[in-house]
Amino acid sequence: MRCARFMTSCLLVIRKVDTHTLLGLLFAIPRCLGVKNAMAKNDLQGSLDLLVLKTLSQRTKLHGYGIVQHIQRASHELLEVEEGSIYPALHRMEQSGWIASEWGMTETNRKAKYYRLTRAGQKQLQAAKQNFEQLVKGIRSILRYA
Amino acid sequence: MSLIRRILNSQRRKKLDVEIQAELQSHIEMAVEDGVRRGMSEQEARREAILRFGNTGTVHESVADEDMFLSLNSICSDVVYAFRQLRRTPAFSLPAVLTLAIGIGASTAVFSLVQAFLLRPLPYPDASRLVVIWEQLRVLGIDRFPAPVGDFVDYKNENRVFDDMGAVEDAHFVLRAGDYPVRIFAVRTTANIFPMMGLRPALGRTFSASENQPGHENVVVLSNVIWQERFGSDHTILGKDIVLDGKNYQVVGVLAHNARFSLGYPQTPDIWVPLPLVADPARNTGQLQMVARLRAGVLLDQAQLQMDILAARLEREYHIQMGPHGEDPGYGVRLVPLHQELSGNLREPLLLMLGAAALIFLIACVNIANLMLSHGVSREGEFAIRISLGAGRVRLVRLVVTEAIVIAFAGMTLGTGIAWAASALLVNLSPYEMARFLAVSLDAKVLGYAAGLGLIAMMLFGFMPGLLIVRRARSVAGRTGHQVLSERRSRSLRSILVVVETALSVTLLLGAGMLIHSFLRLQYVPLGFEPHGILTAQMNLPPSYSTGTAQSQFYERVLEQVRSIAAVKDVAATTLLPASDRLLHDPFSIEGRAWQPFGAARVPQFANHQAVSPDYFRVMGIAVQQGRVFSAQDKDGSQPVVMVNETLVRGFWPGERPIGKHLVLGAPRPGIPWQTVVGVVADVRSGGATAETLPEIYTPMTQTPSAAMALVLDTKVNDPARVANDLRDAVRAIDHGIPLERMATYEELLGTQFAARRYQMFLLAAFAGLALLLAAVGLYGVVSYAVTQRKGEIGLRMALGASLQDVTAMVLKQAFLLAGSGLGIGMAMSLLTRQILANEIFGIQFLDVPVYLGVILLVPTVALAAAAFPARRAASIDPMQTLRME
Repeated sequence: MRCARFMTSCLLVIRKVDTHTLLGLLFAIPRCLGVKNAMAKNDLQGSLDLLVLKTLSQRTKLHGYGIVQHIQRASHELLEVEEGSIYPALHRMEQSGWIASEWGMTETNRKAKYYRLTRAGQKQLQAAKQNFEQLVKGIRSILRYA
Repeated sequence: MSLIRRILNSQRRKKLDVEIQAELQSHIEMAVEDGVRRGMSEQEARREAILRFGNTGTVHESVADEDMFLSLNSICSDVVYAFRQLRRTPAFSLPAVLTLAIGIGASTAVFSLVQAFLLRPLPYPDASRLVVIWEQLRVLGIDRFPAPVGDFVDYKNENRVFDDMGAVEDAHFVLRAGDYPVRIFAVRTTANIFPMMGLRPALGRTFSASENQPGHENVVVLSNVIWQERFGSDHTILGKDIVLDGKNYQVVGVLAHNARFSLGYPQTPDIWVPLPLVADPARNTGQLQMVARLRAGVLLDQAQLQMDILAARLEREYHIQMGPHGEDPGYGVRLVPLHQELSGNLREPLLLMLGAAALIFLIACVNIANLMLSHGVSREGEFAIRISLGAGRVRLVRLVVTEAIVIAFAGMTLGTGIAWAASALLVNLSPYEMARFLAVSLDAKVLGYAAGLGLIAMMLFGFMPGLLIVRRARSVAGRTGHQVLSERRSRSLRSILVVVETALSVTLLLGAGMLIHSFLRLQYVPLGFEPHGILTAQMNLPPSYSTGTAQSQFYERVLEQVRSIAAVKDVAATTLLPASDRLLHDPFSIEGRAWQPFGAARVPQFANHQAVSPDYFRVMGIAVQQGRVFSAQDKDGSQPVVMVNETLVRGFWPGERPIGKHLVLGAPRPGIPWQTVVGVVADVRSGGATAETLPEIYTPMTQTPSAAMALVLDTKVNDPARVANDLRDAVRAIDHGIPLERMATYEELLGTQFAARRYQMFLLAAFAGLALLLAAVGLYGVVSYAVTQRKGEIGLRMALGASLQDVTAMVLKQAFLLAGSGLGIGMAMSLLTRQILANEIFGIQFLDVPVYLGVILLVPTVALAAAAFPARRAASIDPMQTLRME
């Protein structure tokens, strides 16, 4: 299993960035040894990503503070995120190309960084939605028969 | 893309920090504004906003991490750490880097030769389509025979497979320029050879096709070298006449200095003259070497097929026969790609060298893996601590791997440097003719080869021990103390590695030993004559000596003159120098017998023919077995006589008395009298130590005069070369215009024929020595490490009454056990790989006993040397101190 993952990660690296093949190969081994942790983290991140993408899909652009406010309002204060933790997620999604950012002015004339959904982000939103529904379905069925 | 952006981001960390700071700050400010709007005081609102936001420092860091290439920073720190670690332990890192550098350097240097000689295309336009065309006489086993002019003209006009076809013929001229005459090497050539081989003139022009027509051939193109050396780089030389063999030739061009030409000639031509293309009906003028460029898209096999058909037609049309009685000679033509023609005899030795170098590289890798293991084991404590402090396995593997990378990189860099120096040396020392016109350089492929080796090395000695160390370190992480260090498994693994490298070096040693042994035997193969103390010099009479009588008279006068030199004991003349000049294959006929290819004992009915002066046999120390030698009475006009060798007698007159028999060179012809055998001499290895002895026919030079002859002088002085000046004066006294060429002692002449073998032997011996050295270092490492590990045990033994001898014996026993196992395995391996060497080695035996014995003695000696120091250290352990330590 691990070995197969190592192979695929090697292949991906080779296909993507030729110049970094060597580096990728060298560090693929430790990566694949530690891959379990990352998986677990991914699931949580996945839902935060979904919330952010969903929020941005309803507005043209929004800054981090606005996104947090919107999530809290929309979830009727049920879902509360520590506000700062949204920023690493936003920056990661920006690096992945799902969202784009630009500096702008708020209504109160304050400088803020605004985020908007990109085309890739829209696709990602669809995929994430489906994933989430699968997850929910799975959890439900476990709850029902447990 | 995002990877690149992240890397770029890491370059501008400062700017990024400011931006993140601004974004987070604006979040908090907005939260404060909202709070104030809801009626809180600003102070209260700010407190709540910060509380809800979480730790700004942590958020800032993790945002920055997302923006930067994740592991780049920690990779850098790993590399820096690895450097520091390696610098702190020079006892480990220095031998590791040096060993690897030697391994990579040797392999890469040899590969650069392979690349230059075998892989890289020749420096000619469309070099891959150039082929050399030889005629062949298959029945005789002659597959490289030059063509007569007539054949060339027919092939050129009638083939449909070549773009172009040219021919060259070597020739010699005596050039008169300046004070003294010199004999120079010339090539008669068709005009199209110049463009075909990319030979451009620096001055003037090359030949035009019309100059290959008879009557127009008195033009000459000079090589750049002779233009500089003999004509002082005279820029006005075009249109002037130079004198070759007493005839005037007009200079029309000078070749560029980088014009390189080789078709397997021993030297590059000094001058070029047009080849007159006159087809003679008898087809026996000209010894042309044909070169052609395949038409684009035509395969070699197709071309060969068409040329076969043409050759069959020529054979019918011109009744190409062999021997006096019209037997089928198996006439044909053979197409050989030019590159193969030039590098053919290099392929096997070079690949053998590459194999040997690869073994060195492997041994080096094994050595380093070993070093890394011992090094790693001694760091187990460090790793255990790191693990208990929370370092992950990933992190530890990365640490070890980074160290391997740093070592591999350092070794690779140093190794490339060694290869650069060594490849130049190897080329300069090499006797291969190709080396003179091919540039050996470290090009991309060679560097890639070095890098590839580095990568392999890294994989071999980095990952595997790395993983092993970490796995074990993990298992011991919970425990404490030093006892866990001396684990059986790592010790046995290291022992296996040492056995492997000893075995590899034993294989190399045996191979080199057999090569050296065969080389020595080759030099002591009795040649049938005594070369010691003989001086040789060659002469070639110009066409002014037009008659045979004039030629033989000249040489008789020279012999007389030379004999009067005080330091000369004896002197004779011959047309061929045995074991140095090429063998001739002249068919001969025996009176009353039909010609057939072979006589008794498969002795071929072809003879090496030599015209000699009567004293030749005495000077050369060739024993006369029957009859008499030539005398002054065997003159032109008296009864034609010959002497033959024993092989001829064995093949054609077994059990008969050969004296008085009659034979003649070539076919019996009217007007050519039979020659009477007057004497039989012992066999001489005329073709050199490795060639079969042919029948030999000697004729007196007075009856078969020749313009070109060599003198052999038996000298009274120790150093025959000291007679050289007297000899030159003696010849000058008779004719001032005859140059003496290639003056050399006979031993020097023989040396050149062994040059290629000596070169191979030198390289292989160097590799074997290197391998043994590396193996000894490895052995030393293991034994010395074991002594360190077992310090406590040894101390205890001594305290319990073990003597110094016991302890020393214990250490030595380990070394001998390891070396002995390697020796055994290596010998078994060498028996298996013997077949590879069989082609390279003259007279290989099933078991080369002296070599095997030598290696059997050598390896334990080296093992003893390697283990001596650790053994002394073991013996000097103070038991009391050890006991206190425990």
